Amino acid sequence: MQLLKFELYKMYRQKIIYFTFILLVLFSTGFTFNRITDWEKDLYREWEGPISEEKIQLAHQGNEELTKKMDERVEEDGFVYSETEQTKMGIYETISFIINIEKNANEKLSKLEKENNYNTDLEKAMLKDFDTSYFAYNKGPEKVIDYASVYSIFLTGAMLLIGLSTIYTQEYSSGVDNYILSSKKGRVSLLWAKVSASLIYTFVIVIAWELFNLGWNVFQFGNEGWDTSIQHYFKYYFSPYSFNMLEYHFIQLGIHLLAAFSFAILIVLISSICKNSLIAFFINGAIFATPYLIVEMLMLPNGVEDIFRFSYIYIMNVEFLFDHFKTFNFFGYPILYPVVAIVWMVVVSMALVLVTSHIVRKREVTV
Amino acid sequence: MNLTIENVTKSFGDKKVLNEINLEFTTGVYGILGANGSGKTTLMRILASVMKPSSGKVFFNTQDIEVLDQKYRDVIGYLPQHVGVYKSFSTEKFLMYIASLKGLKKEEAKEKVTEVLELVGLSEHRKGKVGKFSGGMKQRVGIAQALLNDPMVLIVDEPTAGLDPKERIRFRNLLSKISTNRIVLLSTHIVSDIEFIAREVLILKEGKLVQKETPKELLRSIKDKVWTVFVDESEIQYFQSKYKVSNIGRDQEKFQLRIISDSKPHQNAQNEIPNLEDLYLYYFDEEVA
Repeated sequence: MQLLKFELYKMYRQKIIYFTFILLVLFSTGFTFNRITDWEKDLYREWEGPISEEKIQLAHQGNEELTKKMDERVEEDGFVYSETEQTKMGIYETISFIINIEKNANEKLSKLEKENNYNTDLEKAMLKDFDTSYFAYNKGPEKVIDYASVYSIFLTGAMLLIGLSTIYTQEYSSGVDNYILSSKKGRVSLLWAKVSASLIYTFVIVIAWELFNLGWNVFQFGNEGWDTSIQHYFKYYFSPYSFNMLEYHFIQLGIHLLAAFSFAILIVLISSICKNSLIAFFINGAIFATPYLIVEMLMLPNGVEDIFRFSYIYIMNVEFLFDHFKTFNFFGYPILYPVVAIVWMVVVSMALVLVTSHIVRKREVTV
Repeated sequence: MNLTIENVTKSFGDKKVLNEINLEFTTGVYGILGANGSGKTTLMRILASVMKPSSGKVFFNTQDIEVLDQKYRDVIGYLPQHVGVYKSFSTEKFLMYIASLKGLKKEEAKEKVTEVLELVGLSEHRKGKVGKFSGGMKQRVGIAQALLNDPMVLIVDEPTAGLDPKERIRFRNLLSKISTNRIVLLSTHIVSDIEFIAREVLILKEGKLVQKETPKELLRSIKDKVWTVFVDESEIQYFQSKYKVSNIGRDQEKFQLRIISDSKPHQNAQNEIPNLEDLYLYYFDEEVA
């Protein structure tokens, strides 16, 4: 426990982590600020609830009327939409979007009836379990989920790289490694203390940006709509998972955290091998960013691309695990990608701890 | 209590830094004397378990230290040649950290830190940042950390290198105070560090153990090899090129040379009582520190 306290003390003494965090958070705002108004929320509230046939008809009518009005107005004075009309148009489009989700799912189900792949039954079961009909204003949750997918990668990635890359290298550069390696608890116990401190640090980082994420986006876009289904957010339009926004956000955070934990352990391992903090930083940075560069810059076949997607940066992004129905064929048994990712991260983390433990046990002073 | 080194060899690539070293230590201070590159630090590191021998074993109370692992590290204190510190830590915090590495409980550690700070004369600087300390003070922090676990085996590597004479004397006194009931291994190339406190002196040369004797015995071995001769200034160069000259002093019109030589260097040369500096020069063909 004492060792853990000291490791945390050493970690949180680094002023650069506070500076970097503030800077990254500032940039993540894009320096823009929009606030949803009460009248906009009220407009959405009129349509809130399960989408019935009656609502569909009304939305259809409303859309036609508005389009007609616009056409006339364009001819008269060139003016197109008022703010209220824009919001209404958005509502009609969203309703149409939601109807299409179910339509797509039903079409997919009929198609699946004719297929007999190793994962067909699982996909059918998931699509049957599907209900996306509840409509509500949900821009806040959408923004929160998006932030946790996109900006979180930079925040967690950079903060881990900066905060943890020196976790062992600083011992070597300060010459304290001599005391450490010749002391009773300087090898395995210290490793556990460093790993635990790294995991606590990671947890704090994720919680810190999540608090900002919630505060910033809920303040701007409201807290309503957590119970709408994730398919309402266009990135998950084809997702077969029956989660509402709140459930998905928790899962998203959980998987992000797990991958971040694993990455933190990798950084500890690299730091234990390297003598130089900068080299450790760049190696860790390369491990983190290279899969992204490969996937985005090269046209890889799907199977190969998915291998790169099971890297830290993509698992921390979480999105690709849930945006479509994707399974891994485990001897004819379909395993959903999120499950594969979780198992993969746990196995990798355990392996990393074992390797690091072996390294610190055998570590010798060289200079 | 004994510490035994059996056939220890350490190589870096093709270079043998230690070659088939066999030694046994019991309670007392042992001075390990050697020139730079003689293998002292490597031997110290192996004994401190921060380096592994290429071959051979080290036993503590007949048990292999590699097998004993942390049980062995629990009984040693190690002061490396270069004292590492966290510059922004206070002395107290730094020592508390090392105490936790040594497995001391918080309360016990607090007491021990106070005790060792008192011992090394740094009580008044317990809140001072270690990074701002002088070389001598850092060295004292180094010895303080090594003593935190009350070690049975204390390994100090070149502890006085870079210290001024006053700090060196202070360090020697400190070492002599704490050496009771322990095995103290002190490596140095400064003869005066060990002259009066070492129970035995080991001489390492190019990775090989050349001598291991009490200072008295070692000095006896060169008893007929130290000479004094009075010469004119013009003759000094001749003697310096032909013999190992350990000291040159002026005596009125003449110069007094202290010469190490197996044979009498001059018909008027007088035999002298050797000291450890003479011994060092006898074995190592370099200037005495």
